[in-house]
Amino acid sequence: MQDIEKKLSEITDEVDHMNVPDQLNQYIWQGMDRGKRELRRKRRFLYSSIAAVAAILIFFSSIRLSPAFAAACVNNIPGMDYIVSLIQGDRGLEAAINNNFMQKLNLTQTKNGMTFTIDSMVADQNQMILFYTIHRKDLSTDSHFKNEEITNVKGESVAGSMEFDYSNDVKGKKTIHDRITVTFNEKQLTNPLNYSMNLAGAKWDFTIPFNIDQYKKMKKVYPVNQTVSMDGQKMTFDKVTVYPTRVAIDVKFDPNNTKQITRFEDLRLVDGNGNTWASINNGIISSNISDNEWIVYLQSNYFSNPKSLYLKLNSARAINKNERKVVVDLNKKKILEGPTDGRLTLSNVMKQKNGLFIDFAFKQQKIDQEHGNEYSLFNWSFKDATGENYSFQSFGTSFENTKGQTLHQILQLPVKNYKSPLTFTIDDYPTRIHGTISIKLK
Amino acid sequence: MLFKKARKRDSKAFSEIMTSYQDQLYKTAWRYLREEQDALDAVQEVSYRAFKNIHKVKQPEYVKTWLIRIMINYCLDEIRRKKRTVPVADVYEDLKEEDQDATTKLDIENHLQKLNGNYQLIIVLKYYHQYTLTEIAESLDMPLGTVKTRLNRALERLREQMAEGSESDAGYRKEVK
Repeated sequence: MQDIEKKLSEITDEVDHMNVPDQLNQYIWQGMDRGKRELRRKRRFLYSSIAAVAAILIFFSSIRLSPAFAAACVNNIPGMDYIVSLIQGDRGLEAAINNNFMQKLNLTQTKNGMTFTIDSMVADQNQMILFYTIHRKDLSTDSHFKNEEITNVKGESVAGSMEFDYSNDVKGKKTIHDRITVTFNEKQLTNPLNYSMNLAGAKWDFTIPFNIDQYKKMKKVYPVNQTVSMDGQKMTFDKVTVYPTRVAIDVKFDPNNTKQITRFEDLRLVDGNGNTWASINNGIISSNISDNEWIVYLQSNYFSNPKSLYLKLNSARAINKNERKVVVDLNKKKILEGPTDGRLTLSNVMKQKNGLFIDFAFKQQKIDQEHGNEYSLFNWSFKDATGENYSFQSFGTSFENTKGQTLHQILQLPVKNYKSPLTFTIDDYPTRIHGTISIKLK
Repeated sequence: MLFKKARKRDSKAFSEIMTSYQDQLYKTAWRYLREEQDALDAVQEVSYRAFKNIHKVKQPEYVKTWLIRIMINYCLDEIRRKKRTVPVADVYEDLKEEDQDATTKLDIENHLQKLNGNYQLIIVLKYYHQYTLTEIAESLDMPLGTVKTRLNRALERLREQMAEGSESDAGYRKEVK
């Protein structure tokens, strides 16, 4: 025991004698300023949601309230704090909540020392967001659930896709707040819906009241039918549908385009006052029906009534169609065919018990680093030399040095007797095309 | 008085409190992240989080410890975010290039940073920030006896981990279809 304490004491000395940079204090102020700016926005949001509840509209319509009053109000709405953080600055969801569009559910069950409560829901016919709280007696019980299903009264799954794990830090926490986002598929939505999952060794079932009749009435459609082009690549916007929780934009790409567009970088709605609704942070960016047909999502402006509204786009990522294939020689550990800009290399191939790991290294430019975590380079499916199709089940991302200039994406392939070389397909690649697209919706 | 004002988010009061702890916070960040810029960014982030959440702190005696805890949590998240490699770490040790910019961490700190959050906090408070056991007890609102037990357990855990030798944790996040 003593030599550990000795080593730790050496650290004490090091810490004592450590120098700190001169600009340290600036960083304190910067953090504080950021907090102040957000607090101003948040206060406006919180006040107006209280207004809806209290119905003392005239008194609350002014944005300025004394800090003491504000503190008192916040303390009276349990759970608001964590919901605000799980919305992560999505203005559309903020507006939905402000306009009384969040339903309190308070559905709670306890099994095996775990209490799971669905606190509230924001939903429309396009998606459903559930805010929940887990309370676990024992920290060692895993708080992650599996086999989630959302079904209608006929027992059909209505979930096209689901997202979880918005709150990062669950270790050591007995009480966890998080959210689930479900994008609906084309199956019929009914009242109620059923949500089930496995957690703490038990199966849980919740009946969720779902006001489908009301939701059906809540959408605004802007027909567009316009073809525009960026750097010679043509795209047709069919329509823009505004739901209370988000906006869905239908777009098709011309099959004769020489490039595959992989991601819109700044697609946004802008009104006459310069208010902008952009893509959702940490959410689904789009549902791709195929390479040439997408539904792209943005934050919703359903509850605002702008006099004019434009759809704008200036930058997109795209790759030459004939450079999408990446052919990898497993034995020589080389890329035989791939993007011609030379930024993608094969760093390593490692065979282990739990998978065949293919480590791709990608040199980023400064602008890419800002988007660093956004793109997964490869499609899940790949082929071997016999033409057989496979898919990999997961991948990890890491950075080679702290400046983040070289991105590694390490694919974990199931262990099989593949015939080399393997062919992967690029799904997203940071070469860009630019243009000035501005479509008037209203 | 300063604390009351800071809780109400009076800029001057809040910044005075944060400034008084800035060195300590920076040093903690640096022990975890090993790079000056990363540690500065960490201080900024913690200052931001503290400002947003200061209303949660009940008494002034708790502020410093609360800030250190936020800092540790942030640093652990940052380390995890940067090292999201799927393969087991030690297989890659000799294959990955030595990171030129960052200073290599002491072995004991690598193990320390893998300990349970509560154990980690007690060791950091005692050895990085020279809290007495009584101070730890007060700021964590815990009996002195519990602090002693917990510290011993933490040191024991640390000793066990170092004896095992390997970096067993694969702190990665899977992206699944």
